[in-house]
Amino acid sequence: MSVITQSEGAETIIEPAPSDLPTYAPALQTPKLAIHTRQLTKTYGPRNAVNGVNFEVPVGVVAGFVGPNGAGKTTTIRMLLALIKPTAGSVEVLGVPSSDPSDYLPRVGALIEGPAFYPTMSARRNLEILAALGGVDKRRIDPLLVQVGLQGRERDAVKTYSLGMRQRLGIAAALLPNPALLILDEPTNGLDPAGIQEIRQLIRQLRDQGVTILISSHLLAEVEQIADWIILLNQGEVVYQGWMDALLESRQGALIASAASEDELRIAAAVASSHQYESTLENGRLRILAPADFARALNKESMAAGAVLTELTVDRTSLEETFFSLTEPATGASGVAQLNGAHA
Amino acid sequence: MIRTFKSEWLKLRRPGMILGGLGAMIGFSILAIVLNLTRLSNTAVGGPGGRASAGLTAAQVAASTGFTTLASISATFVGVVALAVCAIAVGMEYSNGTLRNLLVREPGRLRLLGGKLLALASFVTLGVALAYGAALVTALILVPTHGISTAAWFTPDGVQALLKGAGNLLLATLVWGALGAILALILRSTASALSIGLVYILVVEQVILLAWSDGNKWLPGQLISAIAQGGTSVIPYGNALLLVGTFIVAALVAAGALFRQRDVAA
Repeated sequence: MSVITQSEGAETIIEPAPSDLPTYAPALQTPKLAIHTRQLTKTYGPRNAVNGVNFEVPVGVVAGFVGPNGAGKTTTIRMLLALIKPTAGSVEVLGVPSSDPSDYLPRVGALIEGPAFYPTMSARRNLEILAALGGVDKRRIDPLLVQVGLQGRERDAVKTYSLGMRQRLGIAAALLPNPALLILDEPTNGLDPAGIQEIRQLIRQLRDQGVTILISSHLLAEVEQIADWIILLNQGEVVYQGWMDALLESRQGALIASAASEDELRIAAAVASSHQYESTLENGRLRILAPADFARALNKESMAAGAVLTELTVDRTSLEETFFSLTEPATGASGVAQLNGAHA
Repeated sequence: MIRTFKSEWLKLRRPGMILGGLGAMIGFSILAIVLNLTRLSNTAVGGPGGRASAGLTAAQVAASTGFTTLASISATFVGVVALAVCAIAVGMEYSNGTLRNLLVREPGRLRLLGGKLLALASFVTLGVALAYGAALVTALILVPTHGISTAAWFTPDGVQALLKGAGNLLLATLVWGALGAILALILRSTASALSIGLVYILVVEQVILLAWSDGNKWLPGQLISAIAQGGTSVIPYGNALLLVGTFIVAALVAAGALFRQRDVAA
């Protein structure tokens, strides 16, 4: 296991990971980190909202910041944006400590905990206010309104907008300073499926243009589709950080086999067992806890033993399953229920 | 700070603020002139020494300080409007959740606060100028209809009194506005700032005055009122300025320190 840390001049080195933090990240090729926290802690009275969090986000990735409601995501994001002060620990954003927010926030765009605007003013006026405040050229406003699909409604009062439209306006506001780092807290809230797809495409476009994007969400399936890098947060602590693919590949998947008869499936189960893989019969199909590359051997040996498998598919472990497998011992049933509840 | 100032003016230019803020200041100023003259015409016209119920005489209105005397009762109304405007302008950033957006675009919290307060001060100044001008025009139209000459208002002494009256009204109104902004900043709510500010002015301070007769030399509302009138027999102008200045500077420093340090969780 390895963990990325930052040394002088924002260079990255690889160090052994703390034993209690599972990481599956291969050596990073990127020389810089967009975000780097060290022992970041925020305490409210006796409660630790964020508890000694260490995480990094390499430059140029889409990073998913994932955890159930109350895990500490928004508190962490507010500390990144210097809106709240850490009780302990430190934050560096774009290589600058969070104690000097004027040196990095002009290069950061953010949508924090839902879009917040002046409801009686138009979308355009809301963006003009932020542009004037940030010293941003007003000519950026029109293309942004087109980019988020609000052209034609830009002169209407924001109070007449649907939640999805306000969300789009929030994303436009975040993009206003032409950011090097974009922090989006639950960006797909309130969007319809087409809107979610558009936002996903926009995020990929921005990533391709070199923008680093941190997306906080409790919608694990959504993050799984879009993120390159993943940080899993639970009860104020990071339980995993690293490349998404590495995480999913590291978790054991399953093979699903179908056959004309149950006897044939029993033969396939015996073949799997001979290779030390467990299997269970579920709804007339055999589920074998084995890696994808066992499929060829399973098919060949089952055929040799007289069983014809009519269908053989790989059931890849989802981020959601992975998240639960990493957090269940700490979370318990209530944490799982909360995430499922938010997901429903 | 200039960027914050410009950004704040984009919000202040909205119809609600123009009609509700400037319109109310102008409306109250005109109303004060009309009400004063109505009471004067009912009880005081007819000879020197005739007195209105508020103690305003035709002779006083005709004097070089006549307009400022006539307009002085509008100071509290205009001040309350300024308090409300500033409380709304600051409090809405918390209630709308927009403060976080502003702080991401302008992380210098004192720069943000300073620019916002400067913009509000300029808005209040504009409001006072328009209200004072509207009141003067109203008075110039209505006072002669009561058989009172306004010629003395434009003598050198009269012009000086007009300008002094405008300056005092502006100072008093700016203090009311600052109080509204400070209350909204501390309480992080427009509704709380307005209710506490108005209850204090209209109720609490009056109750304190009943129990503490010397309170009119020290209580903020009394001192601000004395500034608007250019000093009273009880509170000399200089004392009122010094005490109110001290109160406001202390309150602004405390509010600024709080704003700089406090977490923004809204």
